[in-house]
Amino acid sequence: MATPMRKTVLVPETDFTADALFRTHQPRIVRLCRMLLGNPDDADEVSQEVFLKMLGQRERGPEPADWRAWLTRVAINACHDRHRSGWWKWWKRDGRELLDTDLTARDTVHEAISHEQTEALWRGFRKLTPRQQEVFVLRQVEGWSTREVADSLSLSEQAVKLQLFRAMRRLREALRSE
Amino acid sequence: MKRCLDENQLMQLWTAEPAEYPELRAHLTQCARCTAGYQQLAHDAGTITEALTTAADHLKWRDRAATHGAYGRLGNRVRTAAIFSGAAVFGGAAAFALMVTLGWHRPGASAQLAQASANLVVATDATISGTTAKPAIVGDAGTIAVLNTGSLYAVDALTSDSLAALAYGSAAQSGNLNADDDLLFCVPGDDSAICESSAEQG
Repeated sequence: MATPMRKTVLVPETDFTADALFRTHQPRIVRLCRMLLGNPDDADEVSQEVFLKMLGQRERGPEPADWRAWLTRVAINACHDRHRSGWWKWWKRDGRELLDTDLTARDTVHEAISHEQTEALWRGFRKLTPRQQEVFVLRQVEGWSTREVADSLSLSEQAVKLQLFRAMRRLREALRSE
Repeated sequence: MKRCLDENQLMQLWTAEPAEYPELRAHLTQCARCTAGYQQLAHDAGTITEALTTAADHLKWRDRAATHGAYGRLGNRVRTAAIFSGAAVFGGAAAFALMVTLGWHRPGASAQLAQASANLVVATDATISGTTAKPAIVGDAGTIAVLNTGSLYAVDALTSDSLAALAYGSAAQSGNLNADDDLLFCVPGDDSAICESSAEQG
């Protein structure tokens, strides 16, 4: 059976694929950047940089075998760079803070733990070292294996486990503190 | 293994790969208490992950000034002052380090002698034990250069400084003709005996 949508597509196949990649991965990358940077504005900027790099990679080639892993790795590195050059952002912040979320009762997590616990967890997560945050996000949120995380962050597997151990211990303390 | 696993061991097990720590895992399968602890840990991990991802999705700015009022504004001013003070201190330190690196040092007797030699006459009175004296050295043309930094000069200060010797040339040498001893006494208005050493003074 013919697919009528195919006949109406005017953009080249590569652009369509780039668009599909963007739509598929953009929410995940933005969330990852928000977790690592703790700042929605920075997260938006960095995620745009990531997808610009994706377009550049598509033009230059070769295309990576796993775009999901490639995008995640680029996002992690971009967040790392942003951390290092972010001192002026602190100065620019000018009277605003990021400790608040607009969680409502509709959110499923709100049924499991209280709003205060969620904020305590968020504050606890922000106090983790950047490396611990990266390991936690890759292992727990992205679901990578220890070896994949170790390869991506240039760490030993033992170091990845240690960072995850410390992160988890502090987050559990934060969860119990409220 | 018969002893129950503590929390650190449970977390160690949780972070490990499935094939790791077979002894601990064997105990886990046999001990209901440890199994419950492990399940609680896994549940906490899931809750924490879900809470953090949800919080990240709902992150928003909050106006600190509106929340904390005057305290927030004061904090902003303190932060501004701290940043500019830090920048000023850092800039000053950097400038000083640059000057020292480039060879700057505090002007000492050598530089003052050089200036005196160049100007030939700088009239300033100096007092020794209640009497007025003008320390002097003889210039090339036989004029007297009067120094403005005091009345007594160690001869070594005139002779051992290579920079001073270069700067004053014959003026310094003339001043050293009588410099057999430690100190050089210079009497104003007495052209015949411009300077005498401390030995000659007794």
